[in-house]
Order: sequence, then structure tokens, then C-alpha cells
Amino acid sequence: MPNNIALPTGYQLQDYVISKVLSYGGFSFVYLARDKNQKTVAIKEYLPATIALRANGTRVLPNMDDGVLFKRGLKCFFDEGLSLAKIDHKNIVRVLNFFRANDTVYMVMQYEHGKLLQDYILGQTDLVSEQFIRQVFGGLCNGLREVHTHKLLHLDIKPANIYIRLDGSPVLLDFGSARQALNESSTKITPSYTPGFAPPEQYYDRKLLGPWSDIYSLGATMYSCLIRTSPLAANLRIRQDFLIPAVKVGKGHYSQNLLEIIDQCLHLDYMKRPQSVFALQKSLLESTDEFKRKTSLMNKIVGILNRPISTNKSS
Amino acid sequence: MKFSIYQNSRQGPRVSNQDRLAYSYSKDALMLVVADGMGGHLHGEIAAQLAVNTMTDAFQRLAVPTLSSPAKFLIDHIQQTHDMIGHITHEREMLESPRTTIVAAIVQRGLLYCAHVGDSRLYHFRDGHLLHRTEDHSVVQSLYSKGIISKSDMATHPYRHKVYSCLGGDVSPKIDLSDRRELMEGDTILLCTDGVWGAVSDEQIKQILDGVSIKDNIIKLLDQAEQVSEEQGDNMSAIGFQWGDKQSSHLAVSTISMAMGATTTIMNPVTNSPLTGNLQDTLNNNLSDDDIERIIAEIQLALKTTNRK
Repeated sequence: MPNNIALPTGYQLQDYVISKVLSYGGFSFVYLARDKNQKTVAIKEYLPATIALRANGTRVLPNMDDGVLFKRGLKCFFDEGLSLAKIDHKNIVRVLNFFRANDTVYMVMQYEHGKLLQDYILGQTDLVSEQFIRQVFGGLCNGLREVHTHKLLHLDIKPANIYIRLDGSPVLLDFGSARQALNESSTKITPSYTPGFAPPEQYYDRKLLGPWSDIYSLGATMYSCLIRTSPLAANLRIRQDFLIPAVKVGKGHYSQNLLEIIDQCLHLDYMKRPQSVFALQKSLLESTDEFKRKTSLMNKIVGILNRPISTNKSS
Repeated sequence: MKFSIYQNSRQGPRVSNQDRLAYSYSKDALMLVVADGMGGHLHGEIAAQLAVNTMTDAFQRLAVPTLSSPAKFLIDHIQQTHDMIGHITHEREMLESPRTTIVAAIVQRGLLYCAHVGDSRLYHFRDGHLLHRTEDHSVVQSLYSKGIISKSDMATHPYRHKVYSCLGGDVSPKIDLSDRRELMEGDTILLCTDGVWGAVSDEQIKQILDGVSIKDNIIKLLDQAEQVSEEQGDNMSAIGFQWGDKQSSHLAVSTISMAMGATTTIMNPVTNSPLTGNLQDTLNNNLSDDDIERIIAEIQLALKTTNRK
């Protein structure tokens, strides 16, 4: 992959000043920048690695012969922009602006403080708690319902595309493959998917894609919280299913109920998964009460036992 | 949505088949399209394939699961096909623009919408009666409408296959949108090229389509057309569908279990010729500067609307 040069720190990009590069994904750069009110934003720049290079200074120039590919990618970038522009939801990354400059296009997004779910999982010394999983995925379901209401599918849900804010609430990022489901005509581009998180129908029969496909990916993401790595890819599972059910992997750490939900989401047969995000959300949150009640009762007892007698009055 | 549908095409005595046909459906909408690439002109089949691809691609993209305005969809995308043919003619420095007729129909919420250019037709039958037929943009049709020739002259007139409006060519097409029509359980719709209706009279078509199975009927219709036009005939293509599932036929398609966002297209396999890589690229990626500006404006507008909420 040829190394593309990022825009330099301090570069004035329309109303924004680049502070630093956040990431480079082969398809785009993401920068941290400040707008004219000194507010921090994230800016995504379309710059597909093998197709275009930044020519003298800041302009982006497609390689010879690749003009067509460059535009095809541009279309995906536009699709993502258009999808996100229509959605205003606390669990979905918020687009603030979209513009053209340097012969490419830029998407300005709200910047959130926090970390990727992927880093969160790996940063913990222990497994994440059941409460954390239920809360994060219940929240994601909220956002995903909004996505599905707009007749979009995300199709790339994975720990690297989920951001956890400082307050613990989740944000779904990166809609690069959204809408692909609805536009099957351009079969020349191999659809992108992430092994381990993509459902079997994304490999084999894209006609069958539906809300249940995102649900598989949610299940796989929950499963990855239990094993702290990617689950076995669906194309391998189809040949011979060596995936150890969540009820076995997570036994002892998590409630049977949660583990069963995860296994259900990970069903190879899409008909056997929860058929809507609402159904999944309900089962995730419904039993939270039960779960909360249990822990809170226990906490209460522990609290009472631990309570020093002298502070009893003041509390 | 339930319906039984069948499409097929015969080359006839011509050296190639320049007819193209396909249908697409989503959970709540069905679209059929027939295009007859014009033989007297170069690469008629390119124009016809383009027409079918443009319509089905757009349908797949926009019918999720319904179209906001089927009539507007038809007009916009038929016009777009014409513009694209012009674009390709220019880009590939073709001596002459490829041309095609088109007839396209959409069924949504039990209503039938139809638009056509040229002399490919739509027929609407109910209980063995012909309720409606599109009017050709043909020289003889206009001669008849002006009272210059009689109805019986039309079938034999030397100009009976000459059309005065088509997609491609220098003149903007006359896109004829039929009044929308209500469909009832058991209604039969036929879309066909002039190779079919030129060989089989409307009366015969009506009788043949009154049979039970749409598949058998279409095959019979094409057999009949082929027999008549053994020596000097045209390509013959037809798609027919029966609305509802009156016959409880095992061929009936039910879209009830389809996903909200899912659509599917069935190209007639006999004639489908995937466009070559380059051409497809031109089609998919002729994002001009104007297109880019337009899309950005669209995104900006969406942002404004969303942020105002």
C-alpha cells in the first residue's frame, strides 16, 4: 500500500484547522480538527490508498486509469454521507458538514470523548460485566433501530466500529458499507465484510440480507466480549461449525439468559435469529431489570454488612 | 403481493435478438420492462440492454419496498436511459446513436402504472376482455388517428413497423404515461414487442391469454407468433403476469416473506447480454462534476433538515 501523506497539522481546511491524524483506513484519513468556534470535530477525508495519491501539496489525484475506481469509491463515500445526514440519534455518529475541497470530499463528524469498544474490551484486565454488555448493546439496538427505520442496513458492525463515550453510552460509527444491501447492481466490487462479524448471507446470498444480518454482527460483537477476540468466521462455520456456543464459553461469568440471546443472534440460519432489533433490544433490556434487582439486592446486603455503624446517622 | 409471471423471447428469422426484457420486485412493488433494440440502427441491443439495466437498477435502488411516485419513476428513468444512450454515443464516438423502444409497467398498492416510447405494447385483460392497450408511437397509428387510413389498413401498411419516437437518436423521446389503472385479482397484463403483436392479432392474443397458466399462455403466444413469422419476422418477446393467485398456481410468487430492503431482478436469460466492463463502468460511474455538486447539495439539504429537528 503506497503511503499517502496526511494533511499537515495546522492546515486550514475551509472553516477547520487540522490538529492531528486520528486514523488511516486505506479508504480514508480521519483527522482531529477544530472548527471556527474552537470546537473539536473529526473529519474524514476520502483518499483510497491504491487508487489516489496526494499530489504536490494537498490536492488529491487519482492514478491514471483509476479514475473510474476513484469515482466508484466516491459514490460509496457519498452514500455513507447521505445515509448519516438523515439520521439524528444519540447512538449514531452525527454528521455536521460535508464539502468538497482538494479535489476530494470531506465529511465532518461530531467528536466524542471515549474509546473504541475494541480498545475498551482489551484494556480491561477482566472480562467486561454483564451490565456493561446489556447497556452497550441495548443502546446500540436503539441506534440500529433508527438505521433500519431509514431502510438502511449497517452491515459492518464490529468492536472497531463502536465507540464508547466516557459516560458508557455507545455510538455506532462507519457506515461505509451501509446501503450496499440496497444496491446489488454493482456486483463488480467485492462487497466488504469483516470475517468473524459478517453473517453467512453476506458471503453467500446477499439477497437474504436484512435486519437479522446486523443482528448476527451484534451477536458476534457480544461474543467477542466473552473471548476478547473475533469469533469464528461464518464462511468457516458453514463448512463445519466449530464455534463454541456462548452458553459454554461464558458459563459462570454471565447469566444463562444473556448467553442464550448471544447464541440466538449467532444462528447460521437467519430465520432463527431475533427477527428485529426491537425484539433483541427487548430481550436484552427486559431481563436487565431482573438482573439489576438481583445485584441490587445483593449489593444492598453487602452494603448493609459493610456499613460502619458510626456513619449510620450521617448517611 | 402475489402474482404469477413468465417471460420469454424468440429470435425468429433475424440474425440476432435485440429484444431485452426483465422484471424486478420488492416486497410491495413489481416492475416489468420490455425494450426492442432497433434493427435498422447500429447496436440496437446495446440500447435495449441499457434500457432494461437502467430501469431494473433504479428500481432495486429505490423500491425499498415502495416507490414514492411510480409515475415519476417511470418518466425520470426512461428519460435517463435516453440521455445515457446519448452520452455513450458521444463517449464512444459511435457514428450513429443506438435506439430502442421501451414499455415499462409498475404495480404498487394494487395500481398499475405504465409508460412507453415506440411500439412495444402493454395489454390489460380482465375476464377475457381487453380493457386497455397502449397506443403505439408509430407512423400508421398517427395516420389512423388523423383519419388518413382505416383500422384494417394498419396491419398491412408498409410503414407499420416505423416508429416516430424512440430512446436514443437526436430527438427527445415522447414518453407516454398511461392513466393509472386498478388491478383486480385474476387480471392479466402482457408486455410485448411488435414481433408478437405484428404476427398475432389482438383478438388471438386475448384468446391465448385466457388460458389458465400464464407460463403456458406466453409460450403458446410466442409459438403462434413464430409460426406466422417463419420467413420475414422480427424478434418476439413477451412478459405476462396474472395478478393475485386465483389459480393457486405453484408458479405464483409471494413477496410476503421478503425483507423490507430486499429486491430481486430476473433478466430474461435468453437475451440478457451483460454489458461489457467498460460500458458498465461508464454507466455506473459517469459522475460528472455536476453530479458531484448535486449529491453534495443533497447531503447538505439532508443535514439542514436533520439538524433543524
